[in-house]
Amino acid sequence: MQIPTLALALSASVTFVVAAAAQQPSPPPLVLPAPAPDVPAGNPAPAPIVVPAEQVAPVELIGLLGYAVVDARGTELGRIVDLLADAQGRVRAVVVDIGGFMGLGNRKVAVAWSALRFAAGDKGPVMSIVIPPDRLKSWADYIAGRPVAILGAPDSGQ
Amino acid sequence: MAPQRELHGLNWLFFFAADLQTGFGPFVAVYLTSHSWTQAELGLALGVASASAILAQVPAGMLVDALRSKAVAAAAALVAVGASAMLMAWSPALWPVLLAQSLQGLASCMLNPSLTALTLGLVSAAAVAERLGRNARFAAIGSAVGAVLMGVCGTFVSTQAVFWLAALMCVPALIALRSLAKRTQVPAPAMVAGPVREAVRDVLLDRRLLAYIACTMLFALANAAMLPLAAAEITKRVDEKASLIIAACILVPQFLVALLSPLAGRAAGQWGRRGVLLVGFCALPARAALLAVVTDPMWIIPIQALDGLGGAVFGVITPLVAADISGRAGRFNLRLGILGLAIGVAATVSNIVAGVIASNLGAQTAFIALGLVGVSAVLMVGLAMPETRPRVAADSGFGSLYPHPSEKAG
Repeated sequence: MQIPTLALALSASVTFVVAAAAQQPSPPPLVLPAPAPDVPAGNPAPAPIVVPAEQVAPVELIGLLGYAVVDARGTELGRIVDLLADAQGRVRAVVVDIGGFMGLGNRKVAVAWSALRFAAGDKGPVMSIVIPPDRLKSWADYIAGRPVAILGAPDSGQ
Repeated sequence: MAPQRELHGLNWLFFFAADLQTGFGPFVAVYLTSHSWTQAELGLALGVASASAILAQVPAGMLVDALRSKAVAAAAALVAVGASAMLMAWSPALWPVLLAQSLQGLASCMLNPSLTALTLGLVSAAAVAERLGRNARFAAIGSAVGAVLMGVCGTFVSTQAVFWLAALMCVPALIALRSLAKRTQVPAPAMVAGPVREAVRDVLLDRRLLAYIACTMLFALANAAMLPLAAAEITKRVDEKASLIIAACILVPQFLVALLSPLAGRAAGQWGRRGVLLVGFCALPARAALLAVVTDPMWIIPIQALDGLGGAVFGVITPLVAADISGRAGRFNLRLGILGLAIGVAATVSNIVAGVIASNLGAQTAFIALGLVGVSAVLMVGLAMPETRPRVAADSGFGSLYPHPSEKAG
């Protein structure tokens, strides 16, 4: 088993489009007005910069930090506390805080991004982990700064 | 003995004060995680909380000692804990939470000593040991009920509602405190109201206090990491029922503390503090050894019952020893503060060291290490801890404090 060590923790709250745009057409991109030219009069003005943008309904997007993930049967497994991305910009894994009662006995495990399934729900996207919960509960702890064992990654035996 | 009604007031006061404080602690991490806190911010908030709860111990003790009315100190602390719970619920953002956590740390340092000091002013010296046992009983019932209420609230309502519920508990606590304010004078209270007359230097150089500090530090060093470590093992081994088993591991010891505390108090009054302390401390290495051997998570619940025995003894004897050494006008709250500081430091070290041992060498090794510290705690009580139960106090001028069983008339 090869353990990827390139993973780096994203500390900011990262928002992803998870209810894929394929399901419904996204609104047309808005063309932002170009910034007011800060050049003396007389010189030719630079061409306006077009930055594409879009507007998405809140139920189609979620902030992943603190978001609950469920197992295949819909029972809550835990909450996402961090995302791990590599130098190629791919999100490789999510760190999920699982188990415990009132904060005692909680553990963090890294689960491959590819092991997550997404579906639309009433209050926003529903994220489920397809890995059997017993595999998840017995998986190695995620400890920042240590080699990360990602469960559900193609090379982790799943 | 004070009238029954006032003692009921004390029962309820300790019940609701413990209830109120259950909402804090490990549950804060769950709450902030569900509000998109990053791990770094969460670590900062929890660090501020434990640092303030440790560093404020001694200053808070001196402050309570200096105040004439312990009831005012207790009321202020209750309001502050309630206010910080409301702040937590109202605004789970960085600065409000840091403020709430440090306020809560400071207030809890004032709350428990001032409630105990209030108790000492309400009961006669002869009734202190048993009354402290009853306080511990109702505090244990309060935190057990609080844990259940808040667990249910967090699961079925929201993590935020837990803090509103905690803040609400402030009201019945203040009502119970108010019922005590109109107190009738006890002929010979264990502690006189008002400022203290004792040099700080004398407090620090007292060999009995130093010996007990060593005992409590070793106890906390062995004890603090045991439940978190056991809980982590349970989540690794059990799939679906892990939360239920961990809940039982928290609640079963609380019920035992509720059951045993008055007995521990009575025994300490009759046979002295040292013997009771030895029995309670022995539960510690026994528990560590069993946790190191047993692998079936269901068996961890009865093993955790030993935590109840140790907790009952520790919770009763600590204020009792501080009261014994302080006498009627001594710096009782300063002594409790120093003990609180020692316990806090030792508990923090315990969690860090046990965590490192568990992640490098396995949980079993960590339990064995904690057990060895537990053995040294027992030895420390056996070899260094003097008996602090006051003798028949002819020199104190107000009659016998705790008559020896052989001298008791009937």
